[in-house]
Amino acid sequence: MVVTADYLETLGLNLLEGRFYEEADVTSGRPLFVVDQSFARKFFADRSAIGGRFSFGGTPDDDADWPVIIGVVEDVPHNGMEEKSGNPFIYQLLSAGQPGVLTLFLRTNRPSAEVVAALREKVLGIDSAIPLFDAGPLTEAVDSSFDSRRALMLLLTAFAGLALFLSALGIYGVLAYDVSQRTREIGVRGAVGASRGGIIGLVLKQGLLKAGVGVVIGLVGAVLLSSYMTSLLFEVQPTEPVVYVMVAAVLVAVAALASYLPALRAARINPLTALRD
Amino acid sequence: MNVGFNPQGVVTGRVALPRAHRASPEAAAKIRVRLLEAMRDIPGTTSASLAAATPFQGGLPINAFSLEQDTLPPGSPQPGPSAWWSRRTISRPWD
Repeated sequence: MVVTADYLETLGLNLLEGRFYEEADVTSGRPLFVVDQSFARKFFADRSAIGGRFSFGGTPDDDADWPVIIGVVEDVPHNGMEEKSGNPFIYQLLSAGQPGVLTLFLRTNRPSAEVVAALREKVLGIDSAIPLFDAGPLTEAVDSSFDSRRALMLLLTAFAGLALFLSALGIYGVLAYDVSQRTREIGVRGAVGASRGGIIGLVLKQGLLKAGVGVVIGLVGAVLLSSYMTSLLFEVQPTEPVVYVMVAAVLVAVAALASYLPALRAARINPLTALRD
Repeated sequence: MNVGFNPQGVVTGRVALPRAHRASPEAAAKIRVRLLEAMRDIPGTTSASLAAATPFQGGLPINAFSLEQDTLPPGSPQPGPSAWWSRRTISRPWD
């Protein structure tokens, strides 16, 4: 990562050890480097990385040409939040040479829209041939790095929602049909003196028992299958209890409703009518 | 979510520099200073800096390097004649 001296301050990086770059380092001619925590941990596990020397491939002839570490900063996932490779990063001072595209950063206490307009004007003032692009708050740049993931997640959520809706519809249909088939039996129970509450309670209990068995089988299946998608999950456990409890609660509530409504209807029917049909 | 830096209150933008501003180390240094000064001139700015890339946008070079007195396991690519490119990409990753 090639940066200028105020990078640490502007972006609010956390310095853990040593120091970050100073303007004077540009002209010092010494190859000085700031490394991240992963680098320090990987190559200087048992001692301080400060003053440590390393090289890119070859071995410098002159002792003074060895790249020297002057500071250690906290890890930044420069390649995105999902970067978990643990690859060490080094920061290099922007000195000789120049990338064709530079990123500008400025920390400000004013609204970003105003600052972007001012920045555009300033860059235009330096040279009208320099285009300024991707300008905006850094939070937006961070946020937009999740866009493609977000779109995919939205699609998956929609499909999962549809699956939940279909299973709820299925449970409701089966249970409601089951209870409606028992109208005659419910009529008999009413005729021999069962109370309306007793009948509803009985039907509800039987419906919930069936749904409960289904939910338990479903949960066991989900636990077994979800271990196969561990690699697809990011900072979420495959056995997230909240998700399981919520799905189970929705399906049980549907089952309760699917048993209660037809049972209520059946219990309201005059036993004589129920028996005659 | 800890990202190791604080993006709150930071405004960013990218510039493509015409070849004239990269022709010599002096020209490169000059345009850098002018860009930094321009940013610091904007009222409300507390600090300004330049970098080769924007965090989270990817595209950073991955390079190999070796540690002094660090022996590489046999069979792994050894530093030597083929190391010129990695040294080159590190010192001038934009070429």
